[in-house]
Amino acid sequence: MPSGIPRMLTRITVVGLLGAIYGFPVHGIEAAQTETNPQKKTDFKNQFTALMDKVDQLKVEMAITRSSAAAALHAAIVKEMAGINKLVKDLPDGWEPIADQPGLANVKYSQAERQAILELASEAMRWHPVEGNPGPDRKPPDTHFFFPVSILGNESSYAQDLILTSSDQGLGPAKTFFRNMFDLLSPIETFANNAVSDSISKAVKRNDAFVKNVFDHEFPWEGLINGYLVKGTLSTPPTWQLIIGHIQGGMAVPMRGKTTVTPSFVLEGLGYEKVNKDTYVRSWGASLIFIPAANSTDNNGLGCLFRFGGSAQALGVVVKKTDGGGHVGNLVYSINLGSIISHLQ
Amino acid sequence: MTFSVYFVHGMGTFTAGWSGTVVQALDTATATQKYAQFSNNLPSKQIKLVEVLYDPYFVDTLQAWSNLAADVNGQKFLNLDWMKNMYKSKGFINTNVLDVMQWYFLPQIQHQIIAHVAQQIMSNGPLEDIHIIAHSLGTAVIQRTLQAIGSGGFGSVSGKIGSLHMIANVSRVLEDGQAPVYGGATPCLVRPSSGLGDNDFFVFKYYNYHHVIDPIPLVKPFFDPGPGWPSAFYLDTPATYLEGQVVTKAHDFINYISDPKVHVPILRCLFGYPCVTPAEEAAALAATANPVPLQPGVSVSADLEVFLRTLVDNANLI
Repeated sequence: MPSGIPRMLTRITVVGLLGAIYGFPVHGIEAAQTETNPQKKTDFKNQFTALMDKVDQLKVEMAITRSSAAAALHAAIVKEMAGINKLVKDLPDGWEPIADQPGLANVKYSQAERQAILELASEAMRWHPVEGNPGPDRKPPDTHFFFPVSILGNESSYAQDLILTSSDQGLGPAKTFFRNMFDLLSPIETFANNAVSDSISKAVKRNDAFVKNVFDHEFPWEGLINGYLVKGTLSTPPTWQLIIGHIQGGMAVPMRGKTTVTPSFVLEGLGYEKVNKDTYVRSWGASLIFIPAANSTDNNGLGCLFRFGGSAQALGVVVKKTDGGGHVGNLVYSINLGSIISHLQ
Repeated sequence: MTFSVYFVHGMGTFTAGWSGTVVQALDTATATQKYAQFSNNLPSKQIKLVEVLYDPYFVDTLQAWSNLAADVNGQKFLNLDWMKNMYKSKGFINTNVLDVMQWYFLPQIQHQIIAHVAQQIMSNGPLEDIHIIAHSLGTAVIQRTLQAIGSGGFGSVSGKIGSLHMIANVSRVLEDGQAPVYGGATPCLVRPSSGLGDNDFFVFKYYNYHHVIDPIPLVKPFFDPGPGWPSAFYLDTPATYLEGQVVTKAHDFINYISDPKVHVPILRCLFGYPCVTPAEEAAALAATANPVPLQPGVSVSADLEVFLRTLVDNANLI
């Protein structure tokens, strides 16, 4: 095994924690092997305290950005900071150097300490539930309120990866530590991600509804063009669609003269369809239509069609030429049996 | 040890229970190669298996299109047989090519699938204890899904995926031009950490596996991702095993899993490095050694061999 691995582990956990807190590189802060060098340990603590002051400032700045409920948030942030300061300041003392392996250490967190960390995180979560997309009024990901814990987990896993890719069997204590950190993080993470799970469940329902009620009633070319022009987002499908070259069964009845019903099909050349933004059901639509002549005595017709609700039925009007050279209006009734079948399946 | 292993299928026809054969292949490989640690406890007994199934969404679309076509087909001027038969026909085009086309060109279906897969990922405890093994089209599906979750597409998420194993990786072939898998202006989050201070990643480990004669991922290969992909957590493994020396097996999920160059890194990632000793690994590699370049006259014509070799030799130019 490379001799640098144990030394690297210490460096990763301590320096990485500092660096990750601020989201900037920590080049120049020499914190490796603090356990074996008292002076460096003191320096490290001083540096750490100074850095935590900056965290305080950062948090206050964050509080200003979250000023919609300033009084309550400020109190929460003060509380957060007290807990985070305690957590981080205690961290170096939570290590127990391993005598025969310089640079390696066991963790000494007691069950009570772990519980305290959990309670701290849970308390802060009540003040700042994580939901929705990150925005100017929400905390950026790299300054998440329990970031010291979270980052420690990440960095420990970084180190764990080094261990797992090594064949050295003497790294058992470090493995135990990382496993403990995962165990510590698990309930916090699950709690934090519940809001994300809720958001995803809503996205699933919306997308399923959109596909079933809207997309499944479109021909491939309509889906393709709408997919390109009207994308929507992962969580919110589009609330309107174009009708392009849509074909469905229909019939036209002349409004004057001999009443003859001519079954044919209706081609909706171009149209617009509104989709309900809550239920993702088609609400209404209108399109320009073409009806081909049903037989040799019939003529082509041009007009418009109106769809109502989520129904596969539609009514419209077309104008056809007459044999005498005039024009006659025709009522159009159209029904899409394919849509009905798809809806029932 | 409690962790979940997600299996994500590729293009083709898949129904519930499809992952059984893949998990069985993993068990068979460990038993065949006699890895001591698994002698009394096969991998499948030590993991929580999560099967990701998204093919039914493609099938449903074909069925809806068939219904639409059936409604008007046969009328004057209209011949929509091609569309009407989409659902019934089980040919390669309908069961494979149209899967890819639907995924790439229809964001409506893509969003539906991403939402469902994301829901599965977020419903199994800490992300660190989730490991994902994806094949072919599944690599593109999982890449987009993880990018969506990790980038806050559904809200601010806490934690990162334990490991991601991309087999016959086509995530670049089907990548979103606005958010490239790597090399874009905005770094993709579906990558491992580049080191200390880098927290803009969403998977702790990213393992890439490509068979040297599998042409599908070579359309736009996942090779040499460059800066931001540290070697400690990124692994690119060329697979060579060909079951029965049948060239068409090169893209097969089970063929990949049966290759020690694939299943050994996966096992070590899941169960720790020592679970397969270097001696066991060497023996397994020797036992599954396959003559590459391929032997003419086995199952592939000399012309095809030349073509594939040329393709592989010039892969980084494609």
